[in-house]
Amino acid sequence: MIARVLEKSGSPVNTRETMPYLFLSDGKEVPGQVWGFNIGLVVLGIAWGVWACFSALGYDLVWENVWHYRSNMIQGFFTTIAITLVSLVLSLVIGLFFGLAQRSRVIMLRILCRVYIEVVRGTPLLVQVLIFFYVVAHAAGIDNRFFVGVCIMSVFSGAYMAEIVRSGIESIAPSQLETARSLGFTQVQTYRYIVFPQVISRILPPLTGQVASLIKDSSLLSIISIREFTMAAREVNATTFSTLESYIPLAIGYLLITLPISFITSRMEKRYKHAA
Amino acid sequence: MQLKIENLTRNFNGQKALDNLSISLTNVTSLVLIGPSGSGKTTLLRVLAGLETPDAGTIRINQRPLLFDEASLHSHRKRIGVVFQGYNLFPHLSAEENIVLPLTKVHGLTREEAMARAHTLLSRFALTGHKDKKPAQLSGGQQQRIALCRTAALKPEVMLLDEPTSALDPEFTTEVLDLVHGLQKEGIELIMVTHEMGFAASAADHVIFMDQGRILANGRPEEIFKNNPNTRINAFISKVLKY
Repeated sequence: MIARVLEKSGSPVNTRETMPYLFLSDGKEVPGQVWGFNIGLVVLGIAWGVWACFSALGYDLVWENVWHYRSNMIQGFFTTIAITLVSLVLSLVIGLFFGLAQRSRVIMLRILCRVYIEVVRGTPLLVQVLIFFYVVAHAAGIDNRFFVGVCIMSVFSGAYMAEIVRSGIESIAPSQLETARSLGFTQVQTYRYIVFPQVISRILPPLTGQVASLIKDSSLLSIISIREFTMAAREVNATTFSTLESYIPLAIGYLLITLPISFITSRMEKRYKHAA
Repeated sequence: MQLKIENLTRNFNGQKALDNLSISLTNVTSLVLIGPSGSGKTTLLRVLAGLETPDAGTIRINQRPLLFDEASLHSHRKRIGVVFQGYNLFPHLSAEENIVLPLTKVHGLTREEAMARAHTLLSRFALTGHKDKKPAQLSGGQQQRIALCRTAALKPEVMLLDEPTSALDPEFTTEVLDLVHGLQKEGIELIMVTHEMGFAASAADHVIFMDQGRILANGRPEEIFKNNPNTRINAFISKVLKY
């Protein structure tokens, strides 16, 4: 990949021959040491960049103050996981409903789906959070912030899930639906035995990708004072004035959740590519 | 089978796919529909399959009227079998599961009964070796033969075939037609749209020639294919058989 990019940019081809440990070549297995060497180079490069930035800043990292509030951070971390898990289940239900309802014969339902999906996908989450919290939740008399947070994230993520479900269903050839009909399957049976088994394996990779977004996006809930991970870091920062010491663990914490998910996603993409 | 069609009409955007078509046949076991593209053969077959609703007209198959409300259509579809041009096996299921699924879910057979039926057909047509393969691993001819087995396993009252060999490489046409022939010998009654004139002439006991949504001629194959007085039909047949 890198080699191909270099080749296109006009770099002389013979660097690939003089330094073969830096390039991939087509159809050849790359030994583990070569990967390790290249990973090492990248890590060194990044470390140098970070060091350069910090020394230009002239800032000494002091961890004691933040360490004192570690339990707040850990609590926030698990609140984020809890919000994500509950929202994930709810948004899957919402996504499935609106994904299917877009194919409904009820015209109003179709319009409703379109409006919901376009509005949610076309407006900033920040605005949605504020409107939902100050208008909808207030009108409905909900004051449990955790519950409000879960509702907002589910409604937001559900719109994206609905689009994933819809595109999955549309990827099933109409001839298959007709064949099922001609064999005497009812509509419910057709979805149960023909459509869903194929759709699920096709949409699992994009769905897990959506989960990673859900986790990161939940950080915006901090603006309505839900004490999730980002809010915890903001609070620690406000009391200790150790900005970087508060936000660096925050970034690492999010990576701890999202990296395994993207790993799983790429594994699944490979698996289902072979299955298809 | 008995087939009685009266004044059947179906329009697509002002185009008459079926134009006031009527016919009455008794004691036919293999009915073949021929004619140029766009003559309405496939539309007629789809109406008979319960997949298309006509604008007007009545149909009786074996004296049972074909009604076009969804409940009647559903039970009608369970009685008849359809094989499409594009073989249309379900890609996520093995060959065997493609046959078993409609038997267990639509026709209420136990899994053992369904398996037994599938295996009988697969071994009868020398397809047992392919039973665990997914459609993508099978050739077009093999897929279409499995699709034929899937439909035959339903023991349909009538089997409808819509150009079952048109999407195939020529080398696979024979193996598919052999299987159709084998099913005929087992007593399955069929209505088939085809461009295989040789097969139509040898396997049909009645041929309908359609043009512009109407029946131009119908009769025993020899009446249609040999010395037909109708110039339109003669021109079509000699063109089809030219090469």
